[in-house]
This record gives sequence, C-alpha cells and structure tokens, in this order.
Amino acid sequence: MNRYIRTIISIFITVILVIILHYLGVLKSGEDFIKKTVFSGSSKLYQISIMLPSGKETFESVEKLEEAYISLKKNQSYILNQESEYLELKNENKSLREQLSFVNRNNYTTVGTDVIGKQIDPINRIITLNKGTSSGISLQNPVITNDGVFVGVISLVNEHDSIVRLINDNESRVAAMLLNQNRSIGMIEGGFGLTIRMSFIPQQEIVEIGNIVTTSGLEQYMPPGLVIGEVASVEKEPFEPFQRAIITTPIVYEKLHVVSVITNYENSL
Amino acid sequence: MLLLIVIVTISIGLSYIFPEPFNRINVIIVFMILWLFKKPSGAIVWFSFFSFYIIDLVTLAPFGISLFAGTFSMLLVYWTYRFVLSNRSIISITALTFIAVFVYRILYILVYNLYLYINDSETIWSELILATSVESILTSLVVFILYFVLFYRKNKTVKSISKYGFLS
Repeated sequence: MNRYIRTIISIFITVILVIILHYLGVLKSGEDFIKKTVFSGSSKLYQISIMLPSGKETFESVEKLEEAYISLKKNQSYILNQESEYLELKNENKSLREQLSFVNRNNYTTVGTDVIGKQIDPINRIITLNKGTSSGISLQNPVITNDGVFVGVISLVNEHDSIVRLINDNESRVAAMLLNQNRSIGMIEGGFGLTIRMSFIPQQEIVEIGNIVTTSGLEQYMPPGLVIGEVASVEKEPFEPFQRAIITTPIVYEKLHVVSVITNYENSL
Repeated sequence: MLLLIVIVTISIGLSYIFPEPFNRINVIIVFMILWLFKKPSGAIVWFSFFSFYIIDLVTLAPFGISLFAGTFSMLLVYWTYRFVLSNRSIISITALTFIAVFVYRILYILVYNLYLYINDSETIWSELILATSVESILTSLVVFILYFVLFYRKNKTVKSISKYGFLS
C-alpha cells in the first residue's frame, strides 16, 4: 500500500480512537488538568477583554444612522411614558403586597458563577462558566444576569465548568411570550450572534415596536417571565400565516462577567 | 505538551481581546506554519493534533470536529510544503497559511453540517463560508507580516553576505 495512504489511515484511526476514548471518559483526568490550565490562563485574558471598551456601532449609510436616531428619540419618549406608568404601578403594587401579604410566586434557586470565557469558533455563541455539576448545575438550566435578564441555556456541563449556549446562537430555540394585548406566543431563535428573531407569532395578533419579550415557561426547565428583550422591528407578509419580530436585548453578551444559573424553580400558581 | 497548552491558551485569550474581525485570526495555525518553516518536520501534524484536541475540550461543538479538521489540514499543508510550495518564499508561506485555514474550516464546516444533518437540524453554510474567508485572509496576512519581520529580512542579509562577501 502507498505510504501516503498508510499515513492518512493511521492518523484517521488515531483521531477516531481519541474520540472514542474521550466519550468513554478514559481521558477524563488528563482532560480536566488541561482544561483547568487553559481556563486559568484564558479567564485572566477574558477579564481584560471585558474591561476594554466596546467596538463602535457602524451604520451602512447616513440615512440608516438618521433612522436609528429617530427610532431612539421615539423610544426615549416611550420610555418616559412607561417610567411614569411604572412608578404609579409600583406604588399600587407595593400597597397591594402589603394588603394581601403577597408572597413571591416564582421561587428560584440560583447559583452565581463567574464567566471565564466565550466563543472561539465562528459557529457557536457561547460563554464558559466556572461552575458545573459539583455546584448543582445541570443540562438545560436557564442562565440569567443578576438583574434577571435571560442569557441562554446550559448546553454542556462538566464537574467544575459548564458552557452556556447564548440566546443569539444559531441553534438556540426558546419558547417566548410578547407582553402585548394578545400575550402572543412565539419562538425565539438566534442568528450567528447578529440577530435574535421571534418567529411563529400568529398573523392576526398586533405586535408593536417596544413590546417586551419574556420566556413563556412552556418548556420543562424554563420558568415564565424571564425578560429577553424588546421588539425592534416587525416583519409581516400578508401571504404568510405567521409574522416575525426582530428583538433587541439589553445585554452586551461579550461583556458578561457574572451570571446566575437557575437550578430549580417552583411556580406556585 | 505544556508549550502547546500555553499556545492554545494565548490563542484563546487573543480571540477574546482582539476586536472583530481580528479575533478571527487563527493564532494556532500562525504558530504551526512559522514552526514548519523554522523546523520542517512531520511532527507538525502531531503538534496540530494536540492543539486542536485542546480546542475541542473547550468548545461546544461536538468533540472531534476540530481535532479531525485541524490534523488533516496540517497533514495536507505539510505535504504541500514538501512537494509543491517548497521554495521557502514569502509568497509560499502566505499561500500555505491560506490553504491551512481554508482546508481546516472547510473540513470543519462539512463535518459540522453532517452532524447537524444526522441530528435533523438546519444546516448552515453561507455565514460560515464568509467567516472562513475572513479568517483565511487575516491569518495569511499575519503570517506574511510575521515572516517578513522574523525571517525574510534576515534571509536577505545572509544571501547578500554569501554573494558579495561583505563580512569576509
């Protein structure tokens, strides 16, 4: 046999053997040492990266910039209205809580973790956490920021570290609800870190720019009411049964440094 | 092995620090190509094997995809260096880098899409091809600059000395 073909075959067999040994867990102790060493070094560089200023937002044309400015102005007045409404409701809520001895309906058990890394390949949008199964984290646990904004879902978990698939990842799918008049249900999907779309919103329901999007809680491990973002634009074609919305989130995923993993939740309603 | 862990750690760290699109520069391949030019040997294939093995441990993609793609792309590059682009010119090294990154990513995309197809997920192409092109061009550019700074001027000086005997 040609020696080049022999080389290809021997490398192929070695690769396959290593993959099999990895999945059998034979290499685990060595791999844990390597990961620990790599994470301890790369996490320091990650800390430096989150201290660096974010890249400037760029616009394709002056018209796009103007459009964004007008949209922001509109949003600002909308937020001001919402804020006054919110303060009024907050006071009302406070007094109602006092009157009814209101107990938190959603009781989450969370684990706070440090973010020690992010994606290094062009496919997946991920963050790496420094806690794993030893801290009670398991697959499909939702991950939120400290102020309760939904970040993503645990997609790979080891004993001392775990990987979160961010909501803007291409393979991310989360059942969501719009806080509009109809309480529209849909599916949040990511798009290579560039966009977050909400699909499968029934055509006849009214979706407005600025509507808040939360998790619907229709999935097994996902509590309802975790804020995802707000509607930035709506794509509606009369010949299609569903409409879509582009969602903006209040989080800069590249700058996350501490998150909480919801390991257990109880909905008493 | 420890040196490879350090290289991979630096590679991961730099991808965090560099802004888009410079975080796409494949530091591992830059290092491997420069190593190949400094010390031409088939060992580069095994260095590549261990480097991409480490990469596979810290990414979400199914284990083995980077390992497979990285090892075979470096094997191809090594043979190309030995039998085709063996003149050690700056153009050859830049072309080899482009081939290394491009083959690595194409193999990666093919295997990843095969995995998605087997799992009944939607396959992805266009964005990845674009990302691959950016990664190939930027990595080649970095190797071009580094080779120029590290070896090219030095080689020219050595050639001048041997030709004209300036120092003899």
